[in-house]
Amino acid sequence: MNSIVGKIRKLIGKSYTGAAPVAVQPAVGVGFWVDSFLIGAILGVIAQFLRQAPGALMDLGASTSPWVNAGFLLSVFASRGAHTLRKAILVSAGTVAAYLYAWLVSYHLLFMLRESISLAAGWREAAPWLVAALPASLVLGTVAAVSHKHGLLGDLCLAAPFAWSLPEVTQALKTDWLTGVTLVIPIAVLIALLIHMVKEERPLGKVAVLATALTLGIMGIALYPVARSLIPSW
Amino acid sequence: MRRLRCILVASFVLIVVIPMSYFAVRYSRRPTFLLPEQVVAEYRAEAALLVLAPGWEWPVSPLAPVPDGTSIMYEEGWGKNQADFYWFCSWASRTVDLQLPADARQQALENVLSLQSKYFFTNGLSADSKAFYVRMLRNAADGDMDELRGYYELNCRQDT
Repeated sequence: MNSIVGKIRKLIGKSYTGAAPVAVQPAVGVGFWVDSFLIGAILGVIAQFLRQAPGALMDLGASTSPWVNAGFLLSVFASRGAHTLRKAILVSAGTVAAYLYAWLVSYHLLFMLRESISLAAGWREAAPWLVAALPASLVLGTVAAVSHKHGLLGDLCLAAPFAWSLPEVTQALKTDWLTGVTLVIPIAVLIALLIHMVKEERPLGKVAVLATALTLGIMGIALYPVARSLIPSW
Repeated sequence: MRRLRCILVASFVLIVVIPMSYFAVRYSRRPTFLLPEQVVAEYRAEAALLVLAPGWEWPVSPLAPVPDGTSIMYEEGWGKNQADFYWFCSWASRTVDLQLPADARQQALENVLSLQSKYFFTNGLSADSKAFYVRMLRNAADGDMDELRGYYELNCRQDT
């Protein structure tokens, strides 16, 4: 697993630095926002196609956490090596916002075009998500930026994806095992990449990460119905 | 140039731009749907071009009363189809009425046969349905009214 993760990591690293990754990479900067936008649009279209596919893939397309995790991974990647926390937050939040908005627009636009629904109906579906994406970008960007920090706070932020992933995973596993596995695999890969990326920068408090992951996961499960009730089209 | 960025842009074109363009073109050709008041206007415009058989009058509206009809939309041409269909029924009723004099039935038959020039026939029917109508009208022109009579009884009679 580690070797695969390492290869992907090296490929990403080479593409942006022209060399094999070193312990602390320079932050990729705002130019990465365009790439995040493209990645978001691509994944949004893929999610919508999966949403229309039969079986367990439909649940993957309709899920939220794997796609949010992809954006979070990008924002952690983008803010590596930023000299100040402020810059790290700016780069991270910009990255995740570019990703999320591109994802949401392409996902809903494709839905509207494929289902031949009116622009107004499509907008009704997308609007709550577009509104929620703004604070979500700021929060995710900040959490991603702080995850580079040594110590408990950094470990807490690194474990944050469990808060929004565990509720959906448990929900999917309740549906049936295939749906659960289809959701668990991409989430596990993305979280493994994330941990691997951060591990190269700083030592991890394994117990702290595990404990906070569990705590945040349980909190996420408790708050999941509340979050869903805020967005009618969720 | 960085390899990954090239792959990313190519993927964007393949996965986002091409499918979106395809579905956007398809979207632009999607059927137009009309509001109830638009479909009534369409029905009345078509009705104004048609002369009903003696004793028949146009209903004010072709829309059936429905409990939650406010959000119902209609396909373009639905109002025209309703007007043509009602007109056809009016003349079919006389064509199959054996109590009428022969010249009145002949005049009614000529009207019935002209259905093939109406919107209902040219635009409203599928190929399979057209074949059915063509056969029914040809039989009627040849003096065999059984199919037309059966059609009238099943589809046109207000009291059935």
